[in-house]
Amino acid sequence: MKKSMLDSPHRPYVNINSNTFTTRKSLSDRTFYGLIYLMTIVAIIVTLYPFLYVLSISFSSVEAIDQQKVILFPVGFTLSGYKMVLQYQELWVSFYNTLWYTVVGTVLNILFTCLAAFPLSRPRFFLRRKLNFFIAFTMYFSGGLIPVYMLITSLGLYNTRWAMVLPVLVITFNVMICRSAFEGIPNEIFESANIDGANDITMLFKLAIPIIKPTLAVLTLYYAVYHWNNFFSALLYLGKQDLQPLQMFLRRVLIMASPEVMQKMGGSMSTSALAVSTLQVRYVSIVVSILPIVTIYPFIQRYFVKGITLGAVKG
Amino acid sequence: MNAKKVGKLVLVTVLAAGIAGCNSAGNGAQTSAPMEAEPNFTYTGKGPVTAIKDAELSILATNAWTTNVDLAHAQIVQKITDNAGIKVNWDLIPPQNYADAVNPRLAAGVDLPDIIYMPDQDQLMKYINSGIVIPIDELYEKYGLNLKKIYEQSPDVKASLTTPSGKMYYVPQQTLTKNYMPVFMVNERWLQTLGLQEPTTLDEFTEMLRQFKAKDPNGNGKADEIPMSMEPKFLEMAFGPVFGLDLSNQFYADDQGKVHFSYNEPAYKQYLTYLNSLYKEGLLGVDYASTTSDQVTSRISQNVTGATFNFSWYMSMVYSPLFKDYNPKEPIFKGILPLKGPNGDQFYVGRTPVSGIFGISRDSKNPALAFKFLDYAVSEEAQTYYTWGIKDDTYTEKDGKKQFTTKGQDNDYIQKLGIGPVNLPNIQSAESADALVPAWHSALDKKLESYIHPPFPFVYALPEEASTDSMSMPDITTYVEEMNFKFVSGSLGLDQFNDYINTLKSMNIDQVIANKQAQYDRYLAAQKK
Amino acid sequence: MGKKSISLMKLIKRDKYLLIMFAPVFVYYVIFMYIPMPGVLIAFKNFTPGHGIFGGDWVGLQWFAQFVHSIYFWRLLRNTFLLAFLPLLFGFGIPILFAVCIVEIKNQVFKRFAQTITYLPHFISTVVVAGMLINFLSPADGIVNTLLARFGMEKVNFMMEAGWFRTIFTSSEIWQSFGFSSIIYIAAIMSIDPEMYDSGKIDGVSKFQELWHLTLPSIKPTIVILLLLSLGGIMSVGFEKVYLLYNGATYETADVLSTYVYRMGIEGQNYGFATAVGLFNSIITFVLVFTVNRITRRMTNMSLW
Repeated sequence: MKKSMLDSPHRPYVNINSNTFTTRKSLSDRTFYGLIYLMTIVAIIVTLYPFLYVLSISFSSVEAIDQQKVILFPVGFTLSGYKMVLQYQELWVSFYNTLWYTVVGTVLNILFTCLAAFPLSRPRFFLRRKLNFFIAFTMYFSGGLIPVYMLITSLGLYNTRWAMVLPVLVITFNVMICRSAFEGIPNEIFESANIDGANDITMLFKLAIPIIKPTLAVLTLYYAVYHWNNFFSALLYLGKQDLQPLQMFLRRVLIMASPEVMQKMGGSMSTSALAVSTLQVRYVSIVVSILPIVTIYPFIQRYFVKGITLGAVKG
Repeated sequence: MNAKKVGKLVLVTVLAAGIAGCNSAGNGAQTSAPMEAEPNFTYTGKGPVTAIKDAELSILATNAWTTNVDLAHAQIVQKITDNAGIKVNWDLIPPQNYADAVNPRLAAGVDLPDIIYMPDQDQLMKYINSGIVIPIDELYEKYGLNLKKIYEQSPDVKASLTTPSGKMYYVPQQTLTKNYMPVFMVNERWLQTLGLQEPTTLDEFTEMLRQFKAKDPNGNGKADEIPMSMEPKFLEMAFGPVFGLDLSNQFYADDQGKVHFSYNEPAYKQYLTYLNSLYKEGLLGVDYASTTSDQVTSRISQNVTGATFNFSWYMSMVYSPLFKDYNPKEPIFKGILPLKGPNGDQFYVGRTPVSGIFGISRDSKNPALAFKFLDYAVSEEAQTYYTWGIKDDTYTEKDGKKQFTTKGQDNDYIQKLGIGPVNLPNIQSAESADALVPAWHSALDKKLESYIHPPFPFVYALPEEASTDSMSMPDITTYVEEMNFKFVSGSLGLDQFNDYINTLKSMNIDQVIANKQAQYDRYLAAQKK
Repeated sequence: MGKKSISLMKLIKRDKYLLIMFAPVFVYYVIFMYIPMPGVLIAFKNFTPGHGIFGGDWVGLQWFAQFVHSIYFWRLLRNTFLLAFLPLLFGFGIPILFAVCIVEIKNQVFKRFAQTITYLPHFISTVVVAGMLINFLSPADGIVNTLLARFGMEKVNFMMEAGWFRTIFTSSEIWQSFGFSSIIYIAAIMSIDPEMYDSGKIDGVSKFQELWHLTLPSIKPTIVILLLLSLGGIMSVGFEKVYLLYNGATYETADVLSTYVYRMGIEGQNYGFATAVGLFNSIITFVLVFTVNRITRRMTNMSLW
C-alpha cells in the first residue's frame, strides 16, 4: 500500500505524517515521540517554573512566605506587596528612564544603522570598500573599557541621559545585516527610480527602507531589547539615581538587597512594612519589571522568528 | 589614490583634535589659585562669609544615607547656606555609590565644581599630586578662623591632614572617636529567661550562644532561634578585638609602637579557628556572609535572634523599640562590655576623628569664597545646627542646657530636616547624642569609653610608599578576603594557615608593613611638635 | 574601469548624498571608536587624574609584568576560558535537540506554546536572571534550600561556595539561551528538502534513524558555523552576569578578566593596570577570532568580513 502512493516522483508533496500510510507506528517510533514530548515538557517546566514561583510569591501572604509554605501556587492571596512597590516613586522614575533610553536609543539606532548601511550597499559608491573596512575594524580593535570610559567623562556625558544612548549609536554587526538586506533589493528598482530623477536620499527613505521592513523589524527588536536590559552603561556612567534605568533599580533591590522600598514607606517598623516580606518586595519588583516584555513579546514573536529564519536561510 | 589621501587626512585631523581636546583638560597647572580679594569685607568667623550679592558655589557631595531624605532641600542645610549669605548649587549623589560615581569625574578632571567631598581620604595623595585640588595653607592663614580653633583643640586632626611637605589641602568632616562605637548587643530578656548573666569573656559568650540555640528562650516551643545575627562587615569588627586584632582597619600599632597587619598575625589564626568552630557548631549560620541589615532587623522584631553587633545607637533607637512592650527605661537589646579574649584583650575599636574630607578644586573661580564657606561650616554656630537642629523646633535651650523637643526626638522628622548632614563638614557631638537616647544608654556609653582603643591614625603616604601600596594591596586584599571565607567555612583547613602566611609574604606584605611603620613614626613625630 | 580617470571632485559630487548620509555615522565612529583607541597608551603609563591620556609618566611594560606575575594571572585565564567554554560544551547540543523536538511536534497549539515559553528567558535581562538565581539559592529564604530542608537535607549557601559557581553560571546560561538559539536550527531543519524524508519513509526507517542519518547531517553546515562562531567568542565572557553573581567567596572560580579589569580599573582606579589587562584580553580574543575565521573561511567560503 505504501508503495503505490509514493511511486510517482512527480507527485506533489504529500504530508508524510498523514495517517494514511502509517497505520501502525513501530515501538521505536512511539518511543521516539514519547521522548520528544517528554523533553519538550521538561523544557517547558524548567523554563516556566521560576516565573510561576516568582508570581506566586508576589501574591502570597507574609505568614505563608515566612513559613516557607509557597512552592508553586500562592498561599494566602494578597496584593499588599504590589501596593507597596507600585507606590514607590523611584520605581516609576526608573521605568520612565528605561522607556526614554529604549525609545530614543532605538530610534537613533535604526536611523544611523540605515544611514550607514545604505551607502555601503551601493556598489558604485567610491568609498565603499574603505568605509566597510573602517567600520569592520572596530569589531576587532577597540580602546578598551578604560579609555572609552575616560572619553565619555571628558566629553561631559557623565551623569547625562546621552551617555546611555550615544556610545552605542550603532552596532557594526547590525549594520552588516542591514547592508545585506539593502544589497538584496533588486537593482532594477533603483534604476527605475533613478530614471525618474530620484536622488540617493529619496531612494533610501522612500524605497529601500520600506522594502526591508522585516529586517528592520528584527533589528528594532534587537536594539530595543538591548536598551531595555542595558545595565552596564548605567553602572559606569550614571551616578545620579534619578537618571538610572529600571535595571539599576532591580540590581539595588534584588542583588544588593537594598531596603529602600521599605524605608520609603516608613521604615522597617511601620505597619505597612511588617505586612510585607522583604522577599516579596523583590519578587514583586521582578514581576513588575518583566511585565512589559512578557505582554508585548508574544505578539512580536512571529516577526522575529520569521526574520531570523530569513537571515539564517540567506546566510 | 586621491580619495585615500583625503580620507587619511581627515582621520588624522579629527584624531589630533580629539586628542588635543583630551589633553587640554590636563593642562591645569598646580599653582595656588589667585585669591579674590574683598577689600571692603572682613570675614569674622560667623556668617555671612561675603558681601558679594548672589554669590554662588557649586558643591559635589553625598546625599543622606536614609533614602527618603534630600539634603539639598533640608532645612538645616538651608540655614547654613543662608547664614553664610551664599547660594549653593548642590550635586548630591547617594553615598552607596558615591565613589563609583565621582572617581571617573575626578579622573577626567574636567569641569569640576568649587568644592568636592572626596570619594576617599586620599591617603596615597593621588588627588593632591594630580593637582585637581588646591593647597589651602594661605587661605587657612587668612580666613581659617574657626578651623584654627578646632585644630587648637585637636592637633592630631591637623597632624593627620598635613602632608609630609607641610601643606594642607582638605577641610575635615569629623566624627566621634570614642562614643557610640559599634558594640555587642544581647537580648536581655532571653538572658533573664535562661537565668544567664551578661557574658564578659569569649567563652561565656559562646556558652550563651549555645544556650540560645538549645533552650528555646523565646518560649514558643520551636527550635527557631538563630543565636547570633549580624551583617558580615561587623563580624571582624566584633571578634577581632577579642584576639587583640583590628581587622576592619587592617593595620594597627601595639603598645610598643610596632605596626602590624592584622591578617598576618598568629592571633588571626586563633580568630579563624574560633569562627570556624562556631560555624561547625551551627552557632554561626550558613548564611553569615550574606545577612543583610534588614534581615537582622526583621529577625529581632520576630524575636528569633539573641545577639548582634552594630553601631551603638541601634540598641535604643531601633532594636529595642521593635518590641511592642518596650519601656524606654528598660533596655531589651542592650550593649555589653567588650568580651575578654584568651590572650587577655578586652576592647572595642574606635574611629579616627576624620570621617570625610572636602577639597577645593582647581577649577574654582573663587577659592577664597569656597574656603570661607567651609570654614563657616565648621564654626560652633554651624555645629549647633548639625547636632541639635533648629532652635525651638527640635530643641530648646534653658540656662545654657539644651534639650530635644518631642519633634526633635522623632527620628524621621529630624532626619528630613537634615540633622548631621553628610554633605557638609559636620562634626558629631556626644552631648547631643546623650540627650537623645534613654538614660541607660548614655550611662552605658560613658562606661564603655575606657574600653575604646584608638585605631591606626590617618597619615599621608610618600610617593614610594604609595606606589608599593597601590601595586601590592589590591591583590593582597582580594587574597585575604577569599582566604577568610575559606578558613571560616572550613573549606580550607587551618593547617594550611602557614601556607597562607607564606603566600602573603610573597605578595610583598612585609614592605607594605614597613611603609606603614614609617608613616606611623612620622605621625608620632608630628604630634610632638 | 573608467574609475581611475574620474577625478575625486566628480566622485564626491556624484555620491554626495551617500557621503552626507554616512557623515554622521562617520563622526560617531571616529569619536566613540577611534579616538579611544590611542587610549590603550594608558596601559603603558602611570595615569594621573585630570591629565588625560598623555599625562603621567611612561612605565613601559610594568603593568603587564605586574599582571603576569600576579598570583591571579593563571586563575583569571582559566576562569575566563572555562566560564565561556563550559556553557558551550554542555549547552551546544541542547538547542539542536530542542529544535528537533519542536519540529517533530504535530499539535500546533502545543508547539506554539512550547516555543513561546522557551524563547522568553532570552529577553529577560541579566539583572533579573541573576536576581532570581541569588534569591532562589539564598540559604535564608530561597526556594531551593526550602525544598532541601523539606527533604531533610542540609541547607547550602550556594552563592558563597566557589565549587558551585561554575554549575550555577553554566546552567543559567543554558537556561536562558537554549530556546532562542534553537530558532536557527528550526529554520535549518525546516529548510531540508522534504523529498529526502519521503525516500526515507519508503525504506521504512524509524524516526531515530531518520534523525541520525537524515536530519542531523543535513543541518551540519549550520551546526558547524554556529559552533565556530561561538568558539571565536570564547575569551570574552559576559561581564554583567559574572559581576552580578560573584563575591569574595567565589572569586576563585568566578573572577574573570573582565571583572578583574573592572575591579582594578573602575573601582580601584588603577587605570593603567586595568587597561593593560584589558589590552591583554583583547589580543587573545583577536587571535582566537582571527584563527577561527580562517578555519571557517577554508571550510565554507564565508567569512565575517
